[in-house]
Amino acid sequence: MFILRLMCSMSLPHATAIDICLWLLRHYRRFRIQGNSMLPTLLPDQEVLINPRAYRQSPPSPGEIVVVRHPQQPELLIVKRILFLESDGRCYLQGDNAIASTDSRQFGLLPLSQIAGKVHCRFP
Amino acid sequence: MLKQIISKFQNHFPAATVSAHCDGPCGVYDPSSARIAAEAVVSMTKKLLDLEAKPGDPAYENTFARYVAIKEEQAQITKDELLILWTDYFKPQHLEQFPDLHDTFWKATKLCSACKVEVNAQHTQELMAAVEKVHKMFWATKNRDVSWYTAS
Repeated sequence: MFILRLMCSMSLPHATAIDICLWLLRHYRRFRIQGNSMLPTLLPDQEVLINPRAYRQSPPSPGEIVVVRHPQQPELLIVKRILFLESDGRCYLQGDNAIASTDSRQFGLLPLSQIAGKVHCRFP
Repeated sequence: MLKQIISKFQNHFPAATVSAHCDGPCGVYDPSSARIAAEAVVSMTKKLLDLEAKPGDPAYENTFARYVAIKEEQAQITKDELLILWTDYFKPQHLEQFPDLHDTFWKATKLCSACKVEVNAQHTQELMAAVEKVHKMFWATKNRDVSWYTAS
């Protein structure tokens, strides 16, 4: 729990001019947050840029926020934080606002193939 | 400048949503949480009406501000608790059982707003009556006889 709090305290940066250029070049995708499970890091209606290519070369690291396809509802994209990675490469996700979050505590570990991208920054 | 342009863009072209949600409802609902908050609204309104005005006295200003803040906060909690029951607990079949279900919740949540805006004892009593009605509907859907009571 201490580690989760520590991770929560790492605030997400705002988009830089380079980030905005990369979004205009369609390297980044824009999403609007819905729901409270990532409070206080991500507020409802806030927008973020995600990098869909972030994990092509290297695996994610604990503490990063990712957009993943819900394991039981493939059409639903959800945003959570990676708490840890298992040695087999699957990741354990949890919302920063754990009390109002459905995450790996319910649906278990997720394969990296479920990750749609890394949340890179707030937008703008 | 750039932020303004982006902000306009965001308004005109909404982004796809990504859900920071909770889809595992715990299934634990109880209208008593709305009742406790509503009772606090009643109490704070009464205290405000009974408070002797001493403009310029820091102790008075502080007490007044605290009463208003607590009334505001508890009215919002009442509203949130009612909305959770309305949107998450009650289902279409309950509407058949209580055709005035929507109207009851709509009026009850409107009363929460009225109690925030005003210092009106009449409206706080109407809010309590609305919460009591919700209490009765709620327990009727569970076929349980839970009597209404208040803490104060």
